[in-house]
Amino acid sequence: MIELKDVCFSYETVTENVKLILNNINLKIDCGEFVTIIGANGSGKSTLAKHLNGLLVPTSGDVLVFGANTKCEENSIFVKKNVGMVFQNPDNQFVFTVVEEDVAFALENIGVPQQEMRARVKETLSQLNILEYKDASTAELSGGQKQLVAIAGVLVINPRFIVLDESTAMLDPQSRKDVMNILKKLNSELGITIVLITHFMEEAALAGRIIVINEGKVELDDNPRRIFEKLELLENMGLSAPQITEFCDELNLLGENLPLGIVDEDECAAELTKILKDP
Amino acid sequence: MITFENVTHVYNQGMPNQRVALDDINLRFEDGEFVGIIGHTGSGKSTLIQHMNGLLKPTTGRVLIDGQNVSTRGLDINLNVGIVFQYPEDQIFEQTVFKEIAFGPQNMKLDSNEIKKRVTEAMDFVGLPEDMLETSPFDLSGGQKRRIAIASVIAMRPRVLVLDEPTSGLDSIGKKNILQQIHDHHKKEKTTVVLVSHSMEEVTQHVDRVVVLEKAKVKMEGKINEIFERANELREIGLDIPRISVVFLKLKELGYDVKNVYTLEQAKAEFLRLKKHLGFKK
Repeated sequence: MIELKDVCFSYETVTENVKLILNNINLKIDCGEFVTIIGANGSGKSTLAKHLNGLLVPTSGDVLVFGANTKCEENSIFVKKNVGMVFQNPDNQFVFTVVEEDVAFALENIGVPQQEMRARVKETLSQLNILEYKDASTAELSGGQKQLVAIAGVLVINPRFIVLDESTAMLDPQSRKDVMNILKKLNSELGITIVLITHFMEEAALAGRIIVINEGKVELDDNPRRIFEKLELLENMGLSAPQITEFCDELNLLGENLPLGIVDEDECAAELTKILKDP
Repeated sequence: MITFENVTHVYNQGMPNQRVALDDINLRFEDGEFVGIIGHTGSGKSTLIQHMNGLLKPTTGRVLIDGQNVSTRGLDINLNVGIVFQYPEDQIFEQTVFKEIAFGPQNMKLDSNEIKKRVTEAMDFVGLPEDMLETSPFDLSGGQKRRIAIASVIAMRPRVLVLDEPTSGLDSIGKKNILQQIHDHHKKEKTTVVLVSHSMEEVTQHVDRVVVLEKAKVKMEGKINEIFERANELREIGLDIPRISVVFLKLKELGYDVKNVYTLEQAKAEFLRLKKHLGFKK
């Protein structure tokens, strides 16, 4: 479990006029959750993500990872072992050029014996369906494959949490789906908690819980349906709802009575056929 | 007009890692058109656009701009074809926003009044305030940097504006704004615009014509409605079609007589038409 208690953050010394990047954040993320974080550019969501594994520590307030305060130096390894981070551009994360070596890097760092290391890397690569690229150069891979290798580099240390900071932003739709499916699988089969920061509303809607960050604060924290029924509020924060939600909303303005916050194509089609049944 | 005649591009020809990035491409981009290029990572989109200003030369075949071969024509081609690359903010290097945007016009040897005028215009185009001109571009947010990178190409007033994924990494409003500005610019200046994108939803709102690339070849080409007649093929090659189109395809599968739609406006109109057709009073 990760807890954020009254977390404030600023890159500058805090005086009266300094704008806080994170402004009194209180959150609790439980084990096994699949959470997405959305927010406009500059809302503070990446800064928030970097607090989850101690890459940044709060200016005031506390972040506790299974009770361990990220502020304490001696908790650093424990925190990083439990919370893995994947970023937007996988190229910036690779240390070695061969897939297998790169994935092994984190294990080498914590002194895992050679033989066990090989076995764990192999297991991780097959969990992500990329074992066939074991000996490939990272430069030869497609964007989606690279991102899976980056995820492997984190997954290999068996973290309880994986935080992904816009890790799907550079991918094409198919690769994005592949990565999302893998994340779903890691969540449901291995019980790994996923925290995904994204600009894609359709992607956000796939999570059990959405946290909306606005101007450094938690503005909304709810299930997708309850989030996306608040169209106007989202728009005011520089966000939009999935296209389907907007469509239903527009029909409602024309006098229909569709449920709010529909995000799924099948559900939308089903609701439309209900209307069309009795003239 | 830009014409691709039997253009093939092979990377690392003759080497073990040889790869065909473009395979016998024939395309034509008319003056004043707004064209979308859609395809996966690795389908050849970026290689294709780099042929438009001679950054890359065809291995075989030729690219013509107004009838002249791009490969043999000199540097002035860059003035006609402005390319905004993916993540252009990574290429920002000047100390101030003004200098960054003025860099292109300066290289064109324009006088200082003209340069100032161009910079002001370009800032206005991307919707950034003039008081930002003396700030360092590195102090700005990602979305603002993106706009500045686009402005620095606009300031050269290219006749053909090519944008490679101009909205990736931006939030929804940022996306909408940038696309709208490009659209307005196209309407006002009659600039030819080529928009490269992963997203059908994005492209369908703005373009006249779509080119779908798949595995180094032109898989489809035509007006949006023609492309959408083949929605299932698009899905087979893994391209996302707008969600609203999916809903209407489902209604069709359920036996309703609906047309293919790809924007919210069309979907609304089509739904109202269907209701009327089925005998609803309202």
